[in-house]
Amino acid sequence: MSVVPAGVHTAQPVQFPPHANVNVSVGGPPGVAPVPDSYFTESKKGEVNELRNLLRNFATERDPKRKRDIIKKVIAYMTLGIDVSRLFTEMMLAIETRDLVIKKMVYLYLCNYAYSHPELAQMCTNTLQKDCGNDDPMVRGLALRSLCSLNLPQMVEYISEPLRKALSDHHAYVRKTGVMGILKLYHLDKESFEQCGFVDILYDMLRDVDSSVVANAIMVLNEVMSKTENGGMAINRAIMLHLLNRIHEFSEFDLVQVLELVPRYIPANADEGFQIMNLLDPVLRTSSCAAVLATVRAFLSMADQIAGSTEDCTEMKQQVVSRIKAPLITLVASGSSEVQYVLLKQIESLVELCPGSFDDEFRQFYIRYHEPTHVKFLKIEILPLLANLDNAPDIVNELGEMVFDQNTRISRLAVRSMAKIACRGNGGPGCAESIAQRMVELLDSNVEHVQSEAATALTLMLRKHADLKPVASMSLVRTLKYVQEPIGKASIIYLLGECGDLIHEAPYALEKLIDNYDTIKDVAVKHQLLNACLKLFFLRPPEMQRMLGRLLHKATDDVSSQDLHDRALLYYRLLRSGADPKTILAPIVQTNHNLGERVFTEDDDAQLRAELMEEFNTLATIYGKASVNFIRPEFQVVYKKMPAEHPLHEGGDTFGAGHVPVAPQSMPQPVVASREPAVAPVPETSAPDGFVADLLGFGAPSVPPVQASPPTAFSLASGVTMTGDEYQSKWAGISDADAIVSAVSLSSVPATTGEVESKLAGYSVVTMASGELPTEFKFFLYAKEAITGNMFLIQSNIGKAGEALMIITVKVSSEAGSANQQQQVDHLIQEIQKALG
Amino acid sequence: MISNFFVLSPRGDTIIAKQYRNYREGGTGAHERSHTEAFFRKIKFWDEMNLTPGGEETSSDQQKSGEKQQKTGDAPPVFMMPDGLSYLHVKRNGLIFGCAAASNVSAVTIIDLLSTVARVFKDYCGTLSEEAIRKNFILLYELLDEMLDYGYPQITRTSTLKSCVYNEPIVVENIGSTSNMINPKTASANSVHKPVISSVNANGRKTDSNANQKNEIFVDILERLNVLFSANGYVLNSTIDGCIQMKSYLAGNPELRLALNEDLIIGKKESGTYGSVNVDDINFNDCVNLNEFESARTLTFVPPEGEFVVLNYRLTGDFNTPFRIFPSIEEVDSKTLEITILIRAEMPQNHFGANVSVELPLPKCTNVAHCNVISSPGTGYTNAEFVRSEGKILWTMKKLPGGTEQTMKAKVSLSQACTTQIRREVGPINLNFEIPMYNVSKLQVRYLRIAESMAGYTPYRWVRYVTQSNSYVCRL
Repeated sequence: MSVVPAGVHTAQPVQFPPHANVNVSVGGPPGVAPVPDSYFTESKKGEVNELRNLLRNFATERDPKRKRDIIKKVIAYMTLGIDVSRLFTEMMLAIETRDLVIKKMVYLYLCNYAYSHPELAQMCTNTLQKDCGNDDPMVRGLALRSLCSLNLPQMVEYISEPLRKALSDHHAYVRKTGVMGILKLYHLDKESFEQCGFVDILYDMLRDVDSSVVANAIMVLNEVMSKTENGGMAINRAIMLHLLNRIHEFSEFDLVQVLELVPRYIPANADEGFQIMNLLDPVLRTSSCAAVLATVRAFLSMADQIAGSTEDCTEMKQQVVSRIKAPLITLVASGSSEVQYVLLKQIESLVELCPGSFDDEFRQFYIRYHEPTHVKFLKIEILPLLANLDNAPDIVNELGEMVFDQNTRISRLAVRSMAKIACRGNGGPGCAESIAQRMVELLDSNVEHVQSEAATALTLMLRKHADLKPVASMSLVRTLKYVQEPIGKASIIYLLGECGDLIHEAPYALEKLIDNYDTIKDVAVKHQLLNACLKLFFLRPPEMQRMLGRLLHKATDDVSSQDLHDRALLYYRLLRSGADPKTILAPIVQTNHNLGERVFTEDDDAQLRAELMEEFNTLATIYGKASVNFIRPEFQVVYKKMPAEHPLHEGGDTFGAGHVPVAPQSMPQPVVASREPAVAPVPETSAPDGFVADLLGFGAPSVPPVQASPPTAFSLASGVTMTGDEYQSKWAGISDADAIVSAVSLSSVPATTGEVESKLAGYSVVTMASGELPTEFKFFLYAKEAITGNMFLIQSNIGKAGEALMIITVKVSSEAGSANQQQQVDHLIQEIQKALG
Repeated sequence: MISNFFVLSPRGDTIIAKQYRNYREGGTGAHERSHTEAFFRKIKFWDEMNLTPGGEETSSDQQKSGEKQQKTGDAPPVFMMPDGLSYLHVKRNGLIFGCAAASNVSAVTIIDLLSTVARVFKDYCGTLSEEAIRKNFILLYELLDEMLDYGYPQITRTSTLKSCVYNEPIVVENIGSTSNMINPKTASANSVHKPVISSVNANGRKTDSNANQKNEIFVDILERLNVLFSANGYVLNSTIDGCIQMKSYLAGNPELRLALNEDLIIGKKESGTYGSVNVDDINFNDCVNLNEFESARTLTFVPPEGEFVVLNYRLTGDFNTPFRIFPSIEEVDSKTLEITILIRAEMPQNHFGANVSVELPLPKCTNVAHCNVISSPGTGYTNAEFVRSEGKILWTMKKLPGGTEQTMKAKVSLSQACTTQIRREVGPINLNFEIPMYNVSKLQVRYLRIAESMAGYTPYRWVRYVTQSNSYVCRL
């Protein structure tokens, strides 16, 4: 047996020293000069056995270098797809080593074969668990990652404990690995994932000191919660601001994770929106295109959120796009062709969002010599979108040069793009006409695909600008003779029909086609021939009558296309019916339609574009269709902006109502309880001067219908007192999820806090603290129910601007359990309403 | 989030593959392998008529492309495969770094991630080639494990990765890069191709062996020119894409200060005083501290290990084009064309264009073309010939000193009478060149210093200026 050197390798350094032992065992014939070896030599039967022998001697092998080489050989076979699972037992013995290189390789082997050999993999659980407690954080992390990657349901019971320990490890690497481990556990066994309550822990870990742990927690939360109604991690103001304040700590891809949360966040008010944008602005100066694009999306979303009206929004988006223009183009200029392609796709959608924004940089979109074709195509498609009064002649000239490119697709696209400039009509007066002139010249160009494209382009332009007819009609009859491509031919015939009043010989040009009807293969050509003849017939009946008759005869006999056959028959019957044909056939024969400013219906994709902007910077932008159309249902994620309502929120109308799906009617329990069970308590919660706690608990400001409630006994005890500390600890002791939010409308906005306090005091609602902020009043109140002894802890605020509305968050501290809490709170609200209303 | 990652050789063999998610019940690796094969076929025989990369092809389309089996365009980096996954890829040195994604990910992020993986592989192997990857596959799997976990990016910086990667690279000799441009002045020094990693001792613990490490830092100021001339020599479009690129082997990772021209102006609107450097826009690596940039045009940063781009800049508008091209075509008789191209090097005399090559596409009906170079002194070896397989004249010059000019006359005989259509098939002329130690924008590194003065610490600084053609085209 001899080792076959792999053909792809040139002579290379010998991997194994020509040590007798090794040489013999890999099968090198003795006495032969060392054979150039490689990990990828072709496998022979029995080599696995030889490896087994090598591994058996592994323990006695002294040279660490050779030890590594033996394991490497096994891994090499594994990656080639050779089954080396027979060596499992031997490999597991090698795991007990201090050499991390070997350890890593064995773990790689283990993870690869665990799924197919579960019983064997279970054997090494002990070792893995032991390694999870190793002194070296690298080993701990490695063992944990492998343990979680085994992908064996029966391992779940062994995973959760080390995982939990890892999450509080003092080394960030282990914590980070642990967080990813949670995700693996989630996919392995959702039930035990729920039991362990990892979601709460993950929310806690968003405040980890290490940024990579935070980023992983975001990724995992987003994936785990992707099927909830939030479509990912729940965001509130506290979390968002916490993350944004640390934005400088995150490295490139971690930063992207944070930035991708921003579009889903609704800022409390316009100021906060601007602050966030200012905070993110430096990211635009970096060379990381992932981060820049994520920032662009965040900016556009902020513009949506904080703009008051549609005009404001458009204007703000204009500003955003003009801010990001230069950085984007620099990224395109400095990136690889792949980066260029994906960036240009994003730019294309931005241009359509804000027409005119990239116009002055149109030269950046000229194609370059060495670019791959997909980049060239894309650039040619973007160019017409940039045309305006000033640059249209330049762009048209440039496109004109591309028409005769060696690549036929480039030349086709160039013609189409010119037509698009003419049809969009933003090239100024005379632009469409000069383009039409060019097209007519191209009809004579003697290059088949160019002629065909030019003819098609002219049909589009005539639909838009009927006044171009004289220009277009000049050489049609001649062109008809040599355009061969079916689409081009059909276009020419259409043009002949359209310009029948200007071209005298039009009927005779078509006559030849009618005579040779049987040789026409393409249905589109036949269709256009029928239509054109009909149009000509109404213009010049005497010349056309017989011809049309012949054509209708042939077409009604034609069985190649049902559609064509039926049309011909319809025309025939209509004409024969004796009714005034002009009125019946008006839609077909009408030639002088003028679209003016309107766009073609088929080009009107405003709705699609709006949908795509919602999904900016995703695959949807690349493919040009909404994600529901190409992402499998199990991977679809709803895009929802959060939080639904802000405590800081004045007025209430500044947010585009369309973005927040507010429940249509006031819900009986209008709050978060079920939606955000997992939001970890925020440390500042207990501080009475912070309103962070409220952030978690505010639902829609919808007032519960004041209904005639059943007359249950409810009265507030008077003379209740409580210390500040007591208040704080009680407030913190009740989960924010159990808080109940409501609102009371006031007759007018109070002038001072005292006004409210004294009114409430009359109804035994005691004020703990109150304060005045620039935009609102803040109250910390409490009350005690006389019969059940329930304590109500109330935090509330009244916005100074807009509607006089008191928003109230109530937590009920009760000894007797939580039954009837909602009802009790309803009563309390009624009391307050009475006091203030 | 990606569901797998793979590296394919230029022939489509899977060199490295890693599966992160399996969406099929009982799916096996073998199944996935067949998917990368299908993916490779799709790239190889990309049908340009397939307009929308995301579109499901009609069955007839598929049949057609199956029959033709020929490449009619370049595959875009993102497209959908019949298995419902989006495949994204980048090509580096002929190798394909690819992955698949099931959810609606950001394509920009994934492409960026793939490029980063490729860059890190290069940092660790020294060079990026099929051989280097095959030899270092253990190291690369180790790297991958640290860079991506369960399909999410983890540690992506070369320097951070160093602390958790233990395999040593096997250095592959760089067998001449594939491009024909090897010039001692512009090709990177051999030491640039050395891997970044430190060695691991027998116990599997890192040794900080800086003893044998030379304190070096390589700084390249690279400018790529895009110029488009009309037939009469008028500049239609001109931009410079520039970058400052570094590769640091400095011991102890000291903080560096890099100063640019003091009169550097950023932004198009401000018109600078005469002679100042005015760039349209500039962006920086995220490790760069810009506190002193506005005031003194000075950057401070701790250079990450491996190759990295400190900043990218972009400049449009008028600059002195280093070469001018003056073409002319004469119709000697109906079947013969005489094409003359004069190239004048307009940069200062102490500089020269290296590896200048001129490409001139000729009509398809060209029978034969005789080229004749009228050489002027000082130019090295020049050669011009008609390459039939590519249908163009290739004119190469080893050297073209500043202030000189070169003329080539080509007599082209056609198989049929020349029409305007055939005339149009001539051109455009494309010029490839590089100019060592010269940059067009006049952006300069005033100094590069170690921020804190350390006695006895004398790093070697290799600063190079290189100007290259990116798209230097003259129409006919």
